[in-house]
Amino acid sequence: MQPFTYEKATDQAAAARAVAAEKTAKYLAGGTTLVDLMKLYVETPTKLVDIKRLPMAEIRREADGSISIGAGVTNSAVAYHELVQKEYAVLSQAILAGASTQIRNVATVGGNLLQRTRCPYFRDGISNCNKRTPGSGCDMATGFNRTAAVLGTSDRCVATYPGDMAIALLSLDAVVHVATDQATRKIAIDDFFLLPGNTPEKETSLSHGEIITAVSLPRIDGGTKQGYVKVRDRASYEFALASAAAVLWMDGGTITQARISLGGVASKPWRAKETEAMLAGKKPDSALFREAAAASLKAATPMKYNAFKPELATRAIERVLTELTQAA
Amino acid sequence: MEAVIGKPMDRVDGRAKVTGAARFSTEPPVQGASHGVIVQSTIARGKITAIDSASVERLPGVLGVMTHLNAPKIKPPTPNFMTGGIFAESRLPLSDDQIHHAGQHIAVVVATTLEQAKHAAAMLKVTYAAETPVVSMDDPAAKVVSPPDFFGEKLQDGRGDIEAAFADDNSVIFSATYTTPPGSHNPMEVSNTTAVWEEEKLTVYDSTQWLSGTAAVLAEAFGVPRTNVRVICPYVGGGFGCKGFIWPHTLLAAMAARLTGRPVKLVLSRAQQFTSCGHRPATRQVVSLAATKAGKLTGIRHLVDATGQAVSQYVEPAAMGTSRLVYDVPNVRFTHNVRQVDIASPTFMRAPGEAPGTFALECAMDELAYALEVDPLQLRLANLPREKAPHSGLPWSSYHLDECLTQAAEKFGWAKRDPAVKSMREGRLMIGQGLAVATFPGSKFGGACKVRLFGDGRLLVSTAAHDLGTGAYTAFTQIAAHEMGIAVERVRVEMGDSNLPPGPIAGGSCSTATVSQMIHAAVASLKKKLSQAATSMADSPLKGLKLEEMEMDGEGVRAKGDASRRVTIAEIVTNSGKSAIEADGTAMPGAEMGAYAFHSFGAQFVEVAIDPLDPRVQVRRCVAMFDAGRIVNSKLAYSQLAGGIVWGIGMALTEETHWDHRTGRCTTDNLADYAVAVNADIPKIDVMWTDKPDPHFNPLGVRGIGEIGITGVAAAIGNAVYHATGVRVRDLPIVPGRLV
Repeated sequence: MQPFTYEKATDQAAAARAVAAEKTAKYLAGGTTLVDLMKLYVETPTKLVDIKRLPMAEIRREADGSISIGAGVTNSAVAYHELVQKEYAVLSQAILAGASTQIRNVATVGGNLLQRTRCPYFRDGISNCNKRTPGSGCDMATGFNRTAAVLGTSDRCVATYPGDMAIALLSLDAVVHVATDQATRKIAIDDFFLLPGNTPEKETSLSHGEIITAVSLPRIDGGTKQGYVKVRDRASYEFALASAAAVLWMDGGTITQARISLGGVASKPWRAKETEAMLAGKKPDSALFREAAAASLKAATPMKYNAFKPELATRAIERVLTELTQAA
Repeated sequence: MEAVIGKPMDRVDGRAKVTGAARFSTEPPVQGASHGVIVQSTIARGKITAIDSASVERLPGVLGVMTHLNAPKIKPPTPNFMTGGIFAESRLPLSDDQIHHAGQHIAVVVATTLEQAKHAAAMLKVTYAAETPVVSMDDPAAKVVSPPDFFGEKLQDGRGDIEAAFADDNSVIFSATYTTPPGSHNPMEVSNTTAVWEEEKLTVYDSTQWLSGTAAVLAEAFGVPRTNVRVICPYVGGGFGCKGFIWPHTLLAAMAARLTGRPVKLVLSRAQQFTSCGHRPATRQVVSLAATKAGKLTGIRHLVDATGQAVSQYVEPAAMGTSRLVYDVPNVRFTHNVRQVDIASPTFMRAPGEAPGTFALECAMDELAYALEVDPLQLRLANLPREKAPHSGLPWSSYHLDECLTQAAEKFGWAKRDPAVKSMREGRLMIGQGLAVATFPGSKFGGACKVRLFGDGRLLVSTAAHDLGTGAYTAFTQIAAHEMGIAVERVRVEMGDSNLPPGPIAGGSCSTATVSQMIHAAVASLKKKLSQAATSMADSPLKGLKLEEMEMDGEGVRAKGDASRRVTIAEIVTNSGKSAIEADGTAMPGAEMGAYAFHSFGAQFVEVAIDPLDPRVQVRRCVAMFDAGRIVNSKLAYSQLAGGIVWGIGMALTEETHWDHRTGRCTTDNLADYAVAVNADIPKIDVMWTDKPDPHFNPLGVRGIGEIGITGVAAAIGNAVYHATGVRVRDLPIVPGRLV
């Protein structure tokens, strides 16, 4: 990898200053994406500021009933936390559907949000890729695009957001807390991720030097049904071809509200708003599920090798809805 | 003495492996080894116009940059399968500026540390004159060649009158095209070589399936006597065919060591492994079957197209172990065309030919069964060549496919299967059951071993053979104990060093078949020497006895039927004045190969479940039975055969190596994008065997079991998927996207 300097941050403000001061500096947390891409020369930071020891590794209940998850909490710790398993089961399920035990044990919540695409043309360091080398072109669009996105893509980029955790966070209306050494701000998770548009190299609304400090999950009022379905090539340890997270509020056999999001098929974690709208106020019904699921894939733009994805995603939504409402 | 053959003995090297005491070839005790990192071509066709070695040579730790401009000249080794070695490509590495595929090795950077070498290699600037590559087998620019033969067997051949068989109006004709994608071996241990020159002597630590072949190729390439080259490889972390022939990285390590004057350790990265030591090429197979309405086959036509490389002789022989001889058919025609593309060279990969070939033939048989409305099992049973091998016409030495099919069917519960497609359901799940025939030839090579019996009764067996992780050390220990009539604890097997008597290549499922014969010969010779020594000792109680009047009892030599007249091993060894009595044994394929047909067969049954809302094929049950001669160790045999089935599941459902159609670069060069089966994909696997010794193959009656396990699995799964869903998938792998 490209030679770099390394420092251990002792407090958050100092860490933020250290990264802000150098345009090609990066934070290092679990390193499961960053170090991997550094070995491939796709990421070539000149300085790494290690934030693993900063005090951001807590999960706690806030006064307003929300839950705050420190950015440095490992994926495993989130997935197995009692409050998460009890009230935000979709998050636990999504995390455990991803990667492997070993990776989940080191990957952090903040780092996982910033997981980068698995697009082979991005990762190979050679091909034309606007995300890696702005303006060079997109070899994925006309290449082996089996894993490419079908929603939210642009002429510049068809790469898929690969993660599972963020899909569940989107269905929970999570909020991302970020800070510089001067200020803090909160970003709704749907606004945290950006569409590729003309600037696929810019994937989030973070500014350089901003540090993710926590992710909070709003209080969920009333009982919900939550589930995550992931369709992939093999049973475990594989990225999603399509995935669906669902949170349903039910009132005696009627769906009063639905939040559904999709993974594996879009440029960013994708809210299935059309499906949500069609389900609200309706009774569970397989024909309705099919129709409502398909509605969110109407805008899909499949390519040569991923023509199966809209149908796979439709079925993933159908499956999660079917299983959640049958369990009643 | 309790029988040791067949026992589920634990691996003799198990403890060494789990404690780390076992030293693989990347862990040699080489002082001052520098690190070599290969630089690969990013274009697939064209030539190198410039390499900026100078700016990289200035980077920290760099000891040398070897390119085609400064590489030591080496000689092309003569391919020789029986007594030499085979370099996998006709072009030597770094021999010119020409590029034949993306990933071709174009430089080696040597540095003090691995990190320095990797970084310098990444920084090396190469300029090319690129041409448009031919990547796909469908590209009309791909040169098509039809080699007449492959390792002595005809690739374009047949029997009977194929045209007449298909012209018969009374025949039921079925024809379809099947494709299999390229596959990559991906052993857990990537290929690696550490080369050490001391004057004109070369020591190489190399992960290889062929010690003596590697030594022969190195000696010839560098123009040194064969006795100057020593190849060491006591353990291999999986080979599957990619460590069989000798690949460029092995020569490059020795060249770089010579250039820099230092030992060089060169380990391929996982990504490099995909383009540096072969893969199973893509195939497109047209299988046409003709049968009577009653279900008797009258014709098989099997036309194979596979990708290949202009600098490689490799042909994927998909019809050879399949359509040529599995069924009793009077009229057969098969062809093998190679479509030359600008991608890395292919090679043998676990059951080469049979793995893709059985997918095509055994799916076609299933489709024919549905067309004829007969049970797929009955269709097989009605067409077995029980009398003799169909192609050679030789009598089978041992043939028990009937038993495999019927006993596996019984265990699986095939009789309860409803043959109608989409007929079996469990709630939302669609259930399907399928079967296929497994097939692999019984082959053996030549080799030699030495046995040494020490005064304390220990027996040492030495041969330059290999344990690829299969358990060969353990199996050979059992065989030697059996031959000698002593406890396994008294036997030690040493392998993995080319200075030992030359053993066979660990390929073609030949190791145990060959080495068991070598050990048999050596122990027979040893016993004779012991008896002779026993009778000739002063005051020997056996004096005057002929050889046939004595016997061994593990502790010594005694008069037959009179245990009071005996001489102990300790006495014989002491009397000899040496530390041990030793004997040599060799094995070579002999007249039996022309008198009988040797072949292993088996039956694969699988059950799959598919959730239409999550259409990933879940394999729920595998039941298989194999006829592979005598089984030496039931525990190892289960691992080998079930391991083959695991490979078959990966081949059927997930594995595909892909090259970008424009650049020829591998887009799946890692274990996330090239998806092998994981534990969660694997169900309970029942494996049975006939355990019938082959009466003419070798004294123990063993045939190899390394490869047959994978054969037929993809077809059985494809057939089960059709049964479950009514969707016939003729293109592997059967990923979820193929079922929506």
